[in-house]
Amino acid sequence: MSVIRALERDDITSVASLYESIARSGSDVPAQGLARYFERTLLDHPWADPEIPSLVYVDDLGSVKGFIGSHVRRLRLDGRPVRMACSGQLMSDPAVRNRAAGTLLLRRFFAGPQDLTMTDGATEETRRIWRGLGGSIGHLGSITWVRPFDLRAAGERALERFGMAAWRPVVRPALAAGQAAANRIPRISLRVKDPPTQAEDLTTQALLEHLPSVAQHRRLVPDYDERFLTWLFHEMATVRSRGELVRRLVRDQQGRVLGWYVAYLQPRGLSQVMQIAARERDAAAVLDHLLHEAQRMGVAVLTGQFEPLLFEALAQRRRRCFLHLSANFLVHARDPEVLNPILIGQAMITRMDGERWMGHHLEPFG
Amino acid sequence: VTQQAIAERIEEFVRVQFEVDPDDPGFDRTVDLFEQGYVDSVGFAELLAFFTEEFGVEIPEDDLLSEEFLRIDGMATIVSRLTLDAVGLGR
Repeated sequence: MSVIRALERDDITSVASLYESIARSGSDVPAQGLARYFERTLLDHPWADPEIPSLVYVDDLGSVKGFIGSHVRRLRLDGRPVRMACSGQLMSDPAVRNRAAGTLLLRRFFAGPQDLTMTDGATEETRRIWRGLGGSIGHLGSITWVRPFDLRAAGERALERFGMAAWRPVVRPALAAGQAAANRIPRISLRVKDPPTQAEDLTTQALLEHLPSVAQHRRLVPDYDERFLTWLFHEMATVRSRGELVRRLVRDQQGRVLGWYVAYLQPRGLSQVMQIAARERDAAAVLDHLLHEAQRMGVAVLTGQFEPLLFEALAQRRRRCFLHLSANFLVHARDPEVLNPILIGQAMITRMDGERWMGHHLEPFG
Repeated sequence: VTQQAIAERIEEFVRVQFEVDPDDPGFDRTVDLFEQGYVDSVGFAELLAFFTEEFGVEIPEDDLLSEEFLRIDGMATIVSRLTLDAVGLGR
């Protein structure tokens, strides 16, 4: 009979092969370095928790045919510790899909001792499975704000993304005309003015020092420590295919800390914000510094997870942001007390705390 | 509730939820629902939710991984056993 059990170090090569085959090149031979990446992100990270392990589905013959990654994160809810398990890399060999291996893996994962399970990278199929197993959509976390900077590059990236790259020569003149108009007409200009704020590199120490004041009105917040943040920033920086990892602590003209941002910025590319932290009154200033930095680096489009603290700033037309809805942020908890802060916008769970920054499917690992 | 009644209710749910053609000659209570493509991973999750709502049972993982759970008759056997266990009448 098939079994579901905790991932062991000896399974890593099989997991990497399965992942390469299903989510990457289609080959059974994993890219060099992929197995090590799984090992680092699943087994060797500072908050790896043997009580909430990654799981494998093993068939009658003893082969690993399914997998779900467990990325444990520590939070605090009104000051008390909460364990969050981010589920990532859910996959099953086509040979066992008719045994619903993915659903069984997720069901077992939900049954773990964690207080909260989440994913911020759900596909349509994953969402439906989560819903069937009692999970909920985190509506706020599923909203993405989008800020275009370069219409030509943004349009071309969009065509590539939707498999319509062949249309580029047709669409390019219209995009160029749109960009030219945006450059000339102030009312629709995409230019970001120089911000009155200043910034410096965000260190782990600065983040730890200022997190309590920045997140003081939120009930559910990350419980970072020095060792975990050092590991996280190091791993995030290794994901080169998303662009350069930029971490900035933003201060006002008097030197007062307003907040910070962490983002992957990519010239002429789609760039993603992983975390914006600020008190609500300072959120606009931090966002403006980020937008200016993105413009300076030649980003085509910048996207980030919507958070209530950004509402007023994003709503101002001059920032040229719009919202995009998906249903990729999912949560599951047995205790509604844990779930509610997420559902009503009193949680600070950013893309840095989920699986969105990870590069399992992107990196060449050459 | 008899095992027969449970099987009938499961069959009714599967037919409606997964849009099984009423004239489908390959469909009966002994067919492997997953192998034959009547139910996929998403449908499996919906089935589990149905068992909880309809019969008030959580199916243990060993039963879910068993060959028995692939067929309506087998599911009915498992659900029947679990409901009897729940009221203290099981073996």
